[in-house]
Amino acid sequence: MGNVKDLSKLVSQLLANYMLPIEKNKHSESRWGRRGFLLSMGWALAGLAFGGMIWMTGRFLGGARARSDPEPANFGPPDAHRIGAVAKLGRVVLLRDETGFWAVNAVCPHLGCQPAFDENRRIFVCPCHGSQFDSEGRFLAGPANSRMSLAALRLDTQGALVAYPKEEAPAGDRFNP
Amino acid sequence: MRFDKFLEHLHPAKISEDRIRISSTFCLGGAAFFLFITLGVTGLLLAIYYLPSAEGAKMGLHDLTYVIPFGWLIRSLHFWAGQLMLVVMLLHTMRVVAARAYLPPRQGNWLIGVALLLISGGLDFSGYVLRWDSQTFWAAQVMSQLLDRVPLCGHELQQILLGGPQITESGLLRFYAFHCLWGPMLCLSLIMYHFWRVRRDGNLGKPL
Repeated sequence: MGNVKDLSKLVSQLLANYMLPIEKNKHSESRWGRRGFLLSMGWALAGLAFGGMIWMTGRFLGGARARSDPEPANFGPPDAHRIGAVAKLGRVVLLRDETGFWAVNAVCPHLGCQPAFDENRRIFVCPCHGSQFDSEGRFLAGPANSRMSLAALRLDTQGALVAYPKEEAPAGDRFNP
Repeated sequence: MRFDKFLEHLHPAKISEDRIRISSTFCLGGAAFFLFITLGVTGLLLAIYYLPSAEGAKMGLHDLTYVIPFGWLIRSLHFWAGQLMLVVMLLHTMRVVAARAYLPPRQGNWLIGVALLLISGGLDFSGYVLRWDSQTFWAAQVMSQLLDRVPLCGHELQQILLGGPQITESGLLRFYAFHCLWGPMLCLSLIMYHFWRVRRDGNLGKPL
């Protein structure tokens, strides 16, 4: 292969020497000769890479199970939450003041990250790009440009407080059990 | 069909020596085609989780990036292959210009190539709009205003491409249809014709 002048010649030579069935390859001494060994290792590596790709694709396709579908969040008996307390379940944040309960769907309208509630400043701050919302999800600072929605609150048959993220409550709404 | 026979037919039976040198083409067209295939495969995977609606786009992208295993990888591959394909296509165009391969008898294939470049630009832009966040929404808004300024048929163009004077979810659906169906199908048919014409016009453009 000393006088190979260009890459395409080199490639076609490589193809002719290595990709054809091994018994046709007059240059290789045996399966475990130098070339045979390198060839086997090369195929093994390619197989490994291909297998990994298939595995990753399988995990990707099976991802629906891990999908973050907003489930109703059960916050237990209402009395367990004192005034001023903050409780978080999944992406729903439950808050309470003197006027009653409300639940914020903590999903940033900008790119869908989950803003965290800062208890000192009583505002939501998005960890991704720093958008800010007040304790009722109203928009304060960008890059988001709209408010976060409120989840509907109801008592279930056991008297537990349940938030329904798929049902939107009107802004400023309070729930008093 | 045997695999080795297929490989033998991949190249023309006769080709002059100086044209098979790698520096003659730098394999730029082939690289662009490889990236196109990459985009097709990753795009097919992304399509499983993407819904062309305001809520669907937001949740789909959130889940793809943060929840679904390797979703971030597939999305990044799709994005970077897309950017890289445009770069490689531009280099390919420059190479063709430098080799004066747009002159007869290859002028037809040159036009096909230009069409492919334009459609790829459209695919890149429509893919960007599919993110449907505040950034891309305003990008689409700017494009809508630009279309409106086109003389004579601007308003009609806007109507056809966006479905109305405002960017709404029906506009998103049009971008989605173009990005996933019209654009790729058009590209694939033109690519096949492009390759066939390279063979039929004979040899490759002579480097300067």
